[in-house]
Amino acid sequence: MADPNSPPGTWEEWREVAQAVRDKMGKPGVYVRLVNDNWDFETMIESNGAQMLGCQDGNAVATFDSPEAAEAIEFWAGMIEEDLCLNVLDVAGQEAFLSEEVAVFFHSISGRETLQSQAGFNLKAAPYPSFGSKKRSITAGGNNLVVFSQDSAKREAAWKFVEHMLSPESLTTWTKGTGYVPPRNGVADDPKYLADFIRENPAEAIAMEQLELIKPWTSFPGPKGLQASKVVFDAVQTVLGGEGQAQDTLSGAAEEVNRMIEGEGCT
Amino acid sequence: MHVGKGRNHRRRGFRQFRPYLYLLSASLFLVVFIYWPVAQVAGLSLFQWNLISPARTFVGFGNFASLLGDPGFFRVLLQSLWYVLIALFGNFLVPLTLALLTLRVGGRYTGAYQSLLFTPTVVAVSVGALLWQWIYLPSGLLNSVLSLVGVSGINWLNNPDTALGAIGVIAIWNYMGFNYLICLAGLIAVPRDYLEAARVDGAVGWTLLRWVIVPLLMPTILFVMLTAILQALPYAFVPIEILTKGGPSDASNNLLYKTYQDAFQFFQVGSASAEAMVLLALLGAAAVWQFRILDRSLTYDR
Repeated sequence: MADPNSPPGTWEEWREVAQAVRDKMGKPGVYVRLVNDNWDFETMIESNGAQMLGCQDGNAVATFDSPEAAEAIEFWAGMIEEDLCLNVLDVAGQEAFLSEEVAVFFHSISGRETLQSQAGFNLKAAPYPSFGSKKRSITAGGNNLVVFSQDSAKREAAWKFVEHMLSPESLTTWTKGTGYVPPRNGVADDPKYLADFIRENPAEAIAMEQLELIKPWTSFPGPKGLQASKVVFDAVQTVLGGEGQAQDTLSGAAEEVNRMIEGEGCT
Repeated sequence: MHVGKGRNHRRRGFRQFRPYLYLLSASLFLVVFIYWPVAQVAGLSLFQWNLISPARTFVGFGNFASLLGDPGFFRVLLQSLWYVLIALFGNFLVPLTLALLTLRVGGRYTGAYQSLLFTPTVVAVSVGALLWQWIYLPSGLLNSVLSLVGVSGINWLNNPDTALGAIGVIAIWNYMGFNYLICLAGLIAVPRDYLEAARVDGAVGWTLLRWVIVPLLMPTILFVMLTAILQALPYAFVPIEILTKGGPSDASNNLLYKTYQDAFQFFQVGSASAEAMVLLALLGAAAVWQFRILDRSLTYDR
């Protein structure tokens, strides 16, 4: 079995780990987080050379049904089919991981503190795996702070709040309390803020090392953009549950998404 | 003591006004938190709106028209009916039967049975849902038990064939005890002398149940049945939100949860309001129908 001190680097190697766990313990070896924001689907297919969304003649078009995307999700579904990977939603998967029903949890760094504070075992982190020698792509997502008020005094107050939220002090608290990497330079490497914390927390350090691989999270444009991401998630669940063939299901979903984002521009 | 005429008059005025004063707090609450929001939702169902934009586009009955043209809506509607049927079984028939049975058991264990059946009701819904998540895990308690009889590997919450039923069971488990308690209270309130008189006349077993107990229990039966129908979707809401999000691929969705998704996840306030109005009409019709039966059966002597 794999040595936790030199973890695998590719999905294929992780699959072997999962197989070894299955053979030895009779339990699925890995859990890839499954949650309706599609973070894990997007990260996986884009690490296999696919794109969620493309641009055609100035219009946004769904491209998550490319052969590379289908290949990536087939790999995931294959692990589920062979009982190497757990197919449950994130809350259940986290419970399974923390109660040692599954050995490896593919998760966003945003869950670091939750897992570290709750795990009753020695939790170790590894870099996100690659498909063979392909370039990995890690989706960066977070939250937006938006000010709607028309009143200039309220706008100023709201902006002060935004500045406070993004101050190095607040980001230090935020990173320590969640795991999210700080969204501005000069916080992680400053000994006044996170430098010591990251040095002592290898999981957070791995996330910092992977910063060069990040690309923005895909939001589908237009007023039906959020419904479009549900269409993608439904398709992902259909494939993972073995209810539909990967390429057909993704193509059907892409058609539906294209109807929802029709006429939305792109850059 | 001398009381002036004017004061007397004022006092009579107050006396006439007094009942309304007492009603004020309750009706104010109803108007502010129930009727006013319902009126607002009715208005919003005629618009397209994303919840924050100052611009609302009037679309008339367009939202209703697109619901009727969407096969996904009818699927969710049908699934809502499944939730109601599950609730009618688990939150009406089962508690009623259990109440009849435990009352017959008698003896010193009656209290123990009653407490055991009622206990899940005091468990917080969210905590109950997480408990069931553990039971439903592929490696969880339920599959471990089933593997003893040779059934294995059912992914209860993530399989489109089992997700809805799995959620329905949680809602039953959580609320059945309360309805059981109401049925039991209704049964205890059935006048003993009626039962004695019936027994003297030779009514036993099924005859006693069918022609004496059930008619006397009718108000309770109808109340519990009505609650089971009306609460079927609200009771399923928290387990759905925590465990399946309506999935996989809408397999455990229902009209109430879809309304929530459309309004607060997709910000399609117009369609969500139209769905809410459809739900209101359907449940309202069920309530009116049941109240009419209730009115007829409230009098014992027909």
